[in-house]
Amino acid sequence: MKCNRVHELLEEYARDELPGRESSIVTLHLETCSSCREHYVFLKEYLKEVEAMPEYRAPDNFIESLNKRIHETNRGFSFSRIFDFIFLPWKIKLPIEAAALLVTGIIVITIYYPVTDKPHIQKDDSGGKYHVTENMKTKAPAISAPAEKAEKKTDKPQPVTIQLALLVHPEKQEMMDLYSSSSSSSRMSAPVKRKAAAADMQEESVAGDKEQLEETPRSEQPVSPGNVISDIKEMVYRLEGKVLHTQANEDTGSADLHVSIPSHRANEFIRDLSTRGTLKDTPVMPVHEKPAEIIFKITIK
Amino acid sequence: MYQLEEDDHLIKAYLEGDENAFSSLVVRHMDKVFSICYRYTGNHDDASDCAQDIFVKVYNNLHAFRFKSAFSTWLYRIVVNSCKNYVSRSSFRNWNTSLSLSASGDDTVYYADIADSKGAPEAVLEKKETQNLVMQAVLNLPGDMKMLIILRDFENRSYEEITGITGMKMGTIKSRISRARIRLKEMLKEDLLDEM
Repeated sequence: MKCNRVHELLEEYARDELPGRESSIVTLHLETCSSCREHYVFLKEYLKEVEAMPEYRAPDNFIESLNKRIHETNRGFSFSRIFDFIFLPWKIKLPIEAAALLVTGIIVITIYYPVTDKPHIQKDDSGGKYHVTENMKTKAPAISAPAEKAEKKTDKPQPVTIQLALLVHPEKQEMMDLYSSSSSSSRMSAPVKRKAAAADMQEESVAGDKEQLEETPRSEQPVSPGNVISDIKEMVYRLEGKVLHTQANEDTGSADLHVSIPSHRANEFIRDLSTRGTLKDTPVMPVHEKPAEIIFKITIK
Repeated sequence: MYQLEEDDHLIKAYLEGDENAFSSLVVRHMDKVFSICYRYTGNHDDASDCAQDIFVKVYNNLHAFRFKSAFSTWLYRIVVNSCKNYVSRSSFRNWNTSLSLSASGDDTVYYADIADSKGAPEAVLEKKETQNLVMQAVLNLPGDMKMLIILRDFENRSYEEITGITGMKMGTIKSRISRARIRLKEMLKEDLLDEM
């Protein structure tokens, strides 16, 4: 028998309360184990002291004090009872209460400050389509100025750029001369004419020949990139657009012209442009976006 | 059995409205309850306070007693839990353990300091001092071990009763009591074995 097991039986052995077989085993063990023997000697002395101890009695006024306390306790609340209810036993209640506080805090924070930026997707009642609504986070109180700026920025449509290739034919140029001489000057208003003249003076210089002034009749102008550019410029100013960049190469007979046209006049510009030459590809105007202006990058050949 | 029947009779009488029955029930058990509280707290005032707390709980919850176990088992269960909670609560404040022993030597225990025992025979004083040391050693045990030692060694409860009171398995109880006695031996062996 192991010493641990013997220690458990020693008390009953000392009181002669152990059954015969176990008692014999303990006796044999004590004969061979000095540690257990020492423990047995101590236990006997200890139990003797315990048995000699007096009985403790409650104070004489115990019943009176108890009745008074019962009366007071049941009359109203006491902090002692509340403390006991909340905190005791503390080994059980405190961890549970701490965990509950933590969970409550996380829930409150999650409700008022959600983590995700993802928008809410809701199903449309009518057609079963899905549409995206505002994210709750954007509804949360925020600094108004940056939000408004961001809103304005996103509302303002970005300009669309369209590449065009214009092939100019001498025959077409003649026809254009007939067209433009009858209508261009009448169509162009005075402010537009002045604007065109001012813009011409400020424009980058053309490689090769100088730009022709309006006074020179169109029919007398040779077909050159510069002439075509100047015609297109007139169109741009008439349509209240802007010329952004010009570059002509007389040697190759080609030119590059970048213009900005208000989007509501873009179709008109394309129509006018097609009278100056052949557009290589039909330009695809933006359908869904509504830009304020369209930038045309025209390559003239 | 007589005690059990007497307890059940008093409880039923109290539940039917007889307040005196409750007082009689308290008188039957208050010494035992006070004794356990005193051995657990080591302080007379704390023991009285703790014992009154226990009987207040008994008063408030006696209507929930189902007579499935002996009233003493139910009562001792409250005693064990209340003593632990009382000491836990006291650990937030400063509390001193002091023991006062009778100097008169008769069966009735009076609470007086050892300093008042002037003139008593030396052997008696030595005996009291040894008992004092034993009590102090028991007080120094960890809470669970201390209660088991009090119930087994001082209150002479059987292992079966202690199982019913604490809810622990018998093997666990025996093992813990054994370890508690080893600790007591380490604390007391020089004092107790020198007397032999």
